Amino acid sequence: MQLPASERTILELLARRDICYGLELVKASRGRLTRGGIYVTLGRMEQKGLVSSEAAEGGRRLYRATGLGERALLAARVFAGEVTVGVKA
Amino acid sequence: MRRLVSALVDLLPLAPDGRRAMDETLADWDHEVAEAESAGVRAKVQLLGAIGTGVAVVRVIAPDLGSPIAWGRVIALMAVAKLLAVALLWATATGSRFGSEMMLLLVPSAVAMTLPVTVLLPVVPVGGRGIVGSCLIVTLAAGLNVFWLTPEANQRFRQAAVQQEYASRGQVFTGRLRPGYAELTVGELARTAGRFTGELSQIAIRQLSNRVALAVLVPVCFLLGIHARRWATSGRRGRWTRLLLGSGVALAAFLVGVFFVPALAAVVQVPGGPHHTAPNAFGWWSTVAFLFVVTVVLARSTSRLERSASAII
Repeated sequence: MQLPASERTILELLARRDICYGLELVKASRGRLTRGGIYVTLGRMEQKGLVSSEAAEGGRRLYRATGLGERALLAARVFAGEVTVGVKA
Repeated sequence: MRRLVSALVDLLPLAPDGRRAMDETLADWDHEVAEAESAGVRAKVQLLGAIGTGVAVVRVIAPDLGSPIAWGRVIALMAVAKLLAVALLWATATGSRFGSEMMLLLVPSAVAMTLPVTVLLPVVPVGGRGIVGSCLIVTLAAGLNVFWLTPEANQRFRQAAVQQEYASRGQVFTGRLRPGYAELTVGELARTAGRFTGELSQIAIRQLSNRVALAVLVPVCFLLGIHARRWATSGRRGRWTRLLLGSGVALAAFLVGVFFVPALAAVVQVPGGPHHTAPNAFGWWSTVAFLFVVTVVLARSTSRLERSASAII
């Protein structure tokens, strides 16, 4: 499972924070995400079912990773060799 | 600045997902400005907000440029413009006088005149996706045509016409005609305007200004055409009547705006000026007039939308 770098960054940040605004993701990413591209990426991820959102005050939205998003992140980590998934003998 | 940027973004006919991305970017900007504690921080977030919104516009539009829907729409529009151009040439008896090869050389200038009316007619489907991309591609094609292709084709046409004239007398013309102002590309016009002074420079500037006005007219007419189509297809009853009426009004407005008024302007004598000069601004008359209509239509549709939303809430 290969995720674009920006989508993986978003899922990693959401895994740590549970729920947050797009702008908070930009600030937490330390330059890996941009405020000009964050909502295009989040919109695409929502269409894929990787994140969900709910309306918040001031026309903003709060985002969280879906179960599919969490599994996609895990699969990406396994694919990259960062974690191993196995069955204990 | 935030309001100005927001108003400019509102002019873009974005698809719903693109609109949502823009709304959220602008909402973040508002939030950061409201949270700013000092004038320095406020200035910083204003700058970051403006840059972020600009990047967001590019990111929202970029997928449109590669969209097959956008390219399909552009090809259809260009085909209609070409058909109209050929019809215009035959209607003015220009086509019947020349062979097919010379007729082809006349098509770019005829397309330059017919492209704005093609995109103005309510024939553009009002699906959200690909609208901005097709508008940009058509605008670039119009610029390419007006600034480079038309002057080159015009010059070749003149050359061919003189050769034909000589041939009819049993002679051969081997020289090269010196291009007139209408046969200079945008770079040559700019160089001419810089090199000369007085009336020669003024004519080059006017030619340049008119061509820019004609190129800018394309996206303005495109936006107006989208609204005309939206209006024509909004009612359940009399859809075809509305479509025909919309097309008629668009065509009449175009003929008056683009041909009749500038024709009047061409005979206006400026006190103290050379006899054939109207102010350069007249070349922009139709562009500005159509832009005004687009703004009014957009403002009205936005306020109607807000009224409907508040009625539902």
